[in-house]
Amino acid sequence: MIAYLIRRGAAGAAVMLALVVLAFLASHYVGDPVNMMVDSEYVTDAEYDVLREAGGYNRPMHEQFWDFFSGAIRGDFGDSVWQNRPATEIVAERLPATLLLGGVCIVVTFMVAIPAAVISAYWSRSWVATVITTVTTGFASVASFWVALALIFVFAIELKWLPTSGYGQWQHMVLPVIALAIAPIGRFTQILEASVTNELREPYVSTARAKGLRETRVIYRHVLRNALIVGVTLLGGEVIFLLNGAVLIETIFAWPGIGNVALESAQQRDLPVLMASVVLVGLLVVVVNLAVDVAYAAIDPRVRLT
Amino acid sequence: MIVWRFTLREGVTFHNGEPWNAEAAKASFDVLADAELASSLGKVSFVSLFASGMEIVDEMTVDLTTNVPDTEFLGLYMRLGYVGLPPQFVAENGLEALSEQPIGTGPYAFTSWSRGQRVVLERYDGYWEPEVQHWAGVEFITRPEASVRAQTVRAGEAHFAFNIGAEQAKTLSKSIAAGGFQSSSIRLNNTIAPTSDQRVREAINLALDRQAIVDAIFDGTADPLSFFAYQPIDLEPYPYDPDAAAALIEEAGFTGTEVEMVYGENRIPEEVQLAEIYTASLEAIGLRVQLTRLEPQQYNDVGGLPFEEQPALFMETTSSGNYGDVVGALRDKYGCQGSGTYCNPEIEADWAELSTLTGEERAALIQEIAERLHADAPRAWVAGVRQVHGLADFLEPDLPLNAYILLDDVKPA
Repeated sequence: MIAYLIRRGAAGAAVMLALVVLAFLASHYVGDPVNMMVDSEYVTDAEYDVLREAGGYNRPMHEQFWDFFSGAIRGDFGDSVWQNRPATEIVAERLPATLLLGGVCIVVTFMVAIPAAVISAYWSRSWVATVITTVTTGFASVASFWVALALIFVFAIELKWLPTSGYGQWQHMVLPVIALAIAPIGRFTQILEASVTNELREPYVSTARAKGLRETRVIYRHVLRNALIVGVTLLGGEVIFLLNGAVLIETIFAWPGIGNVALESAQQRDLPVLMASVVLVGLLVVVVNLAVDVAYAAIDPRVRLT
Repeated sequence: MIVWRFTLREGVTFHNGEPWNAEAAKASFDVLADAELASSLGKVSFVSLFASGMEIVDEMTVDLTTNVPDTEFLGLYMRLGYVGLPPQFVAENGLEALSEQPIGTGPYAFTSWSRGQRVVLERYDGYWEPEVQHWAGVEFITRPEASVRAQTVRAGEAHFAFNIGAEQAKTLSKSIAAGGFQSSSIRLNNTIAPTSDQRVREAINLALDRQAIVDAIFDGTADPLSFFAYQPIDLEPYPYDPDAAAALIEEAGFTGTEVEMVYGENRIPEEVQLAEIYTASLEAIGLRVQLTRLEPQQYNDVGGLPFEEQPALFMETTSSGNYGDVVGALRDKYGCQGSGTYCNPEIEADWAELSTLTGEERAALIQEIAERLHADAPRAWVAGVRQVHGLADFLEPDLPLNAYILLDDVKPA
C-alpha cells in the first residue's frame, strides 16, 4: 500500500511537472507575454521596455523558466498584474467557492442517481424505467451552458422563484448546481443502472434472498455496495468534468470560484493569475484521482494496491 | 516649459471629513507621479511629462509645470486615474489601506464590498453639488456574462446593465445605445504592394457598403465611419461604388492579385462576420483575398511586427479617441512610430505642432490632417459600434458620447 502510494505520488508529481512546463511554454513561446498583457494602443515603446524588464521577460529563456519553475514549486507565481498582490492568494481565496459548488454537485448527483438507477434496474420492464432511461439520456447529452440559460429564463425571469445569478445565500446555489449536475446525473444513472442490473443476476443475490433477507436489505446492503464500485471509479472523471464545467457555469452565474478567476485573468491578460489557476486546478485533479484510487481499494477488497 | 495653474473648488470635502485643498491635491499628485509606482502600466510617459512636482501656491491654488506643451495631458491625467486622496488618512493608515477602503470626494461614499461580487456606495451628504445625487445609494454587482447581465434587469435584480450588446437588448423593454465607441477598420499597409498604391487603398474604401454592413450586423447600434469614432471631425464616409473600385484596381494593374487579410476576435464578436463581408466585397472588385484568423496572442504579435513584415490588410477594432485623446490616437494610427502600418513623412511633421495648439487652431489642424489622411486612405474605417446598455423602465439616462458613464447622468425618468 505504501509503495503504491509512493509510486502514484511520483506519477502525480510527473504530471504536475509536465503541466508546469506546458504552462510556461504556452505563456512564453506562443507569443510575447508583455504584448499579451498590455493594450498596445496605450503603451509606448519605452513603457513596453520597462514592463519587459519589470517582468524579467528580457532575460534568457532558461533563466526565466528556472524562476517560473522554482516559484511554481513553492506555489509562487508572482504578483497579479492588476491587483498587485500574490497570484496564488487571489486563486486560493476563490478555491472554497469552487469546492462548495463541486461538492454539492457530487452529493446531489449521488442522491439522485442512486435511487433512479436502482428503481430503473429493479423494475426494468416498467414504464418508470423507460421514463428514467429517456430522461437520463437527455441529461447526459445536453450542454450545461444551455441548461444554465434555460434555468435562468424559467426560474428567475418567468417564475421569479430564484435569483438569476450571484453568491452568498442558498438560493444562489440552486440553479448553478442543477446546471452543473445534470450531465453527471445522466451519466451516473445510466452506468449505475447497468451495474445494478448485472449485480442482480449474480448468484449471491439469490443466496441472500434464500436466507430470507428483506428485499430492501438485499438491494442496499449487497447489490448496491458492489454496484457502487463503478461509481467511485467514475468519480475521478466527473471531478474533472465539474472543474471544466465550472469555467462556464461560474461565469454565467457570477460564482466567485476558480473557473471564474481563470476566465477573468485570461480576459484581463493577467498571466500570473492565469498560470496559478491552471496549475492549482491541475493539482486538484491529480489529488482527486489519487484519492479515488485509494478509495477504490478501501471499498473493494479484491483490489490490492501493490 | 508651460505652467498649468489649477484653482481648486471651495467647499469640497473627503468622505472622512478631511478638506480638499492644495495640500491634498499635491499629496495625490505625488502618488501618481511616484517613480516606483510609475513602473506599472502606462505611467512612464506621464511622469516624464513633468519638469517638477506639483507646487502649492496658496490654500486653494496649485501649479504644474510640463516639459513640453501637451493639450491632452488633462485627459491622460484622468485616464491614469488621478483621484484626490485624503492626506491625513494616508499618513495614518498608509496608501494600501485605501485599496480596501476607498475614500474620495465624489457624490457617493464607499460602504462595503465583497471581492468579485459587489461594491456598495451610499449618498455622501457633504457633497458640493447635491442636485446630481439622484439616488440614496448605489450597488455595483459583477456579472461577467452579457446575457445574464441583461437578464438581471429583466428579473428586477439590477436597473442598469452595462454593455450587453444589440442582440441582448432586444430581450429588454428598454435600452440605450450610448458612446464608448469601438471603431472597426481595416489597416491598409502602405509599405508593401499592392496596398502601397493609393488607388488600391481608395478602391478598397469604395468597395465596402458601410450602411448595409452596419444595418445587417449591428442592428442600428453602429454608424458608418469616415474616421475613428467620437471625433470633432467633419468628413463623409467613402461612398459605396464597386464599379469605380474595380476600375481603380484594373488601372493600377492589380486585378486578380492575391492580398492577405488577417483578423482576430480582439474586441467585438462580430469580427468574423465582418471578415466574411470584406472578403466578398474585395473579391467583387477583382482582388483575391487570402483570409487568416489569428489567435489573440499571435494577432498581437503580428500587429507589432515592422510594417513591411505585416500583411497588406489587417482588420482592427479599436476604442481610440474615446477619452478625448485625439492626438495620441492619431499618432498611434498614422504615425511612423505608431501601430498603423502607415508612414507618411509629410504628415509626420504635424504631430509636434498639433500637441501645442489649442481651441480653433487645434480643431482646424486636426480637420486638415484628417482630410489629407482620408484622401490618402491608409485605412478603411467601416463602423463605429456603440455600447448598448440595458435599462429599467424608470431610468432616463443622459449619457455623453464618450466612454464615461457618470452616476450624475443616470437619472430617473
